[in-house]
Amino acid sequence: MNTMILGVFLSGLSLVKNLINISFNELLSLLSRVFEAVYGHEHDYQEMAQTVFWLESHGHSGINKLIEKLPELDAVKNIYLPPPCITKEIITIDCCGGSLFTNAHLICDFVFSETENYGITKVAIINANDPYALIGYLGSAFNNNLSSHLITDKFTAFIFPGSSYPIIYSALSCKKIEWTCSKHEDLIDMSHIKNHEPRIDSIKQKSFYEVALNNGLSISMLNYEKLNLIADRILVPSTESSRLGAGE
Amino acid sequence: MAELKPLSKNTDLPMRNPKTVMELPRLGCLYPYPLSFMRCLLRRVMSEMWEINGTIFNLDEEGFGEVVYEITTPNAVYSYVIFSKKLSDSKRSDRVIAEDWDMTVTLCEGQIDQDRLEFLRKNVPLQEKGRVDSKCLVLSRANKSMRNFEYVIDCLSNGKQPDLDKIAKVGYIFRTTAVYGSGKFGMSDWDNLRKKYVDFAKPFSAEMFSCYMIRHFSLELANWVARGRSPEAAVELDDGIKRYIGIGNATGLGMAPYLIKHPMLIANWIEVRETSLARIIQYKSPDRDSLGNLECLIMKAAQHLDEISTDNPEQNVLNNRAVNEVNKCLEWIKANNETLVNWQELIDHASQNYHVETQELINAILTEVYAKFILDLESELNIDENYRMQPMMKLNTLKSLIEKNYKWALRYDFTKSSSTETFWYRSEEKQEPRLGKKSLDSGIEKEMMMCIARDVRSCFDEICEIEGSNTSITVAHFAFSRPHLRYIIRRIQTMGLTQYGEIRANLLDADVLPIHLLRCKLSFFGVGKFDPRSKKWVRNTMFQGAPLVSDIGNEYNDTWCFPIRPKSSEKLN
Repeated sequence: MNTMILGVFLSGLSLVKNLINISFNELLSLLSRVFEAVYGHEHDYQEMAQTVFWLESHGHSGINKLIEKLPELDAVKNIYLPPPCITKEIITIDCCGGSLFTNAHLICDFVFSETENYGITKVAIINANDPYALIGYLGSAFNNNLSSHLITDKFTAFIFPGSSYPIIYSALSCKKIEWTCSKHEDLIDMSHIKNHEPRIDSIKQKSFYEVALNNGLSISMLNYEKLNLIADRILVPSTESSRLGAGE
Repeated sequence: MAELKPLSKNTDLPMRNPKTVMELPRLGCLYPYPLSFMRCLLRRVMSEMWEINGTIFNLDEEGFGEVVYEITTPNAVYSYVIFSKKLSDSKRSDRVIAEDWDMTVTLCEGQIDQDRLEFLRKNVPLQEKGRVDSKCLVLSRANKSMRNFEYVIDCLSNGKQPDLDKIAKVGYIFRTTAVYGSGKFGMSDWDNLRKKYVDFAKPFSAEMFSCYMIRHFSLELANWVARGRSPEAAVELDDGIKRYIGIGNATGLGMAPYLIKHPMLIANWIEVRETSLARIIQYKSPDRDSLGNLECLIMKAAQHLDEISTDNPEQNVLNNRAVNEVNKCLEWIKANNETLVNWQELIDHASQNYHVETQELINAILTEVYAKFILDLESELNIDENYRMQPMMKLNTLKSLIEKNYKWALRYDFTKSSSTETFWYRSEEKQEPRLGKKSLDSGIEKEMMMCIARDVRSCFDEICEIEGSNTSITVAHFAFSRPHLRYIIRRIQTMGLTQYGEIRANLLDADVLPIHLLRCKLSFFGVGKFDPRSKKWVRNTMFQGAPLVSDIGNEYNDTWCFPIRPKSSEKLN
């Protein structure tokens, strides 16, 4: 029994040993270099980084989610989206099997702009992976005027105007991502989450953020190294001539 | 979207035109002024009478070992921890890529116990290769100035004060080679520092304090080593000389990307500076007192420039010309002091008769004359930066924004190869930013995003391509199929809300002079005595003339700008 406890204790220690504590600035800079390394300047790599950073700094395991996806992101360079299909009732955006980590910001821009124009927008996002990225962008975009209601196979979320914290509920069965964005909160049908307790509320996200800001974020050393391995691709090998004239 | 407001409710202030102010060669002529960060810091230290005491002083006779200073402010206690070691001359380098230093330091929260000291001992001397934690606010290092350090020790240990002519040539005995803050290597993030450590809640305040403490330690170290070498004969460095010794700094290309990456912040610092000047022009008039102060400060500034020793021929030309012109200006003021009715006349006279360097020197001097009148603007130096997309903006509005704010960028001809000959990249060696030549060097495919003018041009061209078909679409529609433009679009939108906008330069030009960027930022720090070593790096002096730690508690005069050589060293011996 004692040996078992010791074993658990030691494995806990090694787990701690395999973590690295990094600041927000370091994480955002690292993620920015990762996305720059993968996509160059063909995409808004800083916004992709911001999306993952928001998830990680608010307790949504952004790094783990990104790490799972990295081999795929690294392999598929063509992430351009076809034009949205717009009808009177709904806008359909086909992500062609791609990850929302790379396109959430573009989709959100589009939906915000439509909603500002028409008051309410219903969107279906099809063939898309990683719906959490939408939460990451909606959290960091901080829209003062609009309410959003997202239904995905992983979660349901609601975000109030002027809030940085989406309230997250359990998933509903849904094959596509449905998003209603409105200037008027009462135009959104929220009957199915009425009387449900949120899985993650704003207090939890806010307090995670504040603790992490104060102490730094602990992430796995292995993940940190994986990210750095990709980020370092933006570096240029040093030569004798490149060193010249920049100092003594 | 970020809310930006003018710094003054009086929007009639005679602010200078961004077209004049934001040209890179002019930004490269800025001088420190009363709201420069080290001036702000010392006003606080002196007025709040911070207590700075050595609590651990474990140095051997040659000055190698550990030192901890405890700093008590009205709000908190901090520790400044120094590791001093023997370094061979061959390892002493100003470069970021150096691996070893004479001194490594950290500023951290609270008092230090043995466990904490052990943790810092393992990590601080490693600098970039170590890891610290969020209780650390700054990580830095410094090297001895070989020209001066041994000379000063030699003099002191022989019972003499050093010759001021020799001191004047360099101005310091230690030189910092990097000062890190804002979350680097595990340190506290700026947002955390700003909320939690109010003593350092102004821009670069903790970093400036670290430099001030390196200066303090360098002076204590000189006395210590001299006494160690010759306990009987050694004398202590005279306080007058100590005040004249600053802390050196070597700044290279690493500082340049910061200015491009933080345009809102830079535009804000410029706006604060310009508001100071505009306020003085609007509300103050020349009178006997102010003209007297102005004349004294012009003479002091001329002497300060005259005393700068640099091997750089271009800088010598600039300094000599500024001295000649500022002396001519002094004559003009004396000849016109009865008829001068407002400061705009002086500024107009300067802009019509003197070079940019002199014009900016005169502007800085004017702010010194009225320092107390502008100090409230200190609180405006912080800004929350964000560059959010405004997706509902119409494309034709974006186009108008470019035409209004980026006319300067559209003037460059990017079809000329010389317009894009330079590229900026990060080296494998500590990610050090470097410059490459497209026709000579490899690595262009990994260039950094320093090409604001070119990106604006691309965005404008792509808008023009669809013009006529549908410019009333939103930028969200436009960017959806052009994600490569999204970054520059949100930057254009954001900078359109600022009064001064972007630094106006094509940083890819074959003849780009990055040194202007470095000097611009250094002037906001409060740095003087620029000694360019190439177009890519500059040595400079910080805190020269500033009060000493032992002066805290005495009456403080915030007048240590344009430090000049003390009158005589003979009397001191």
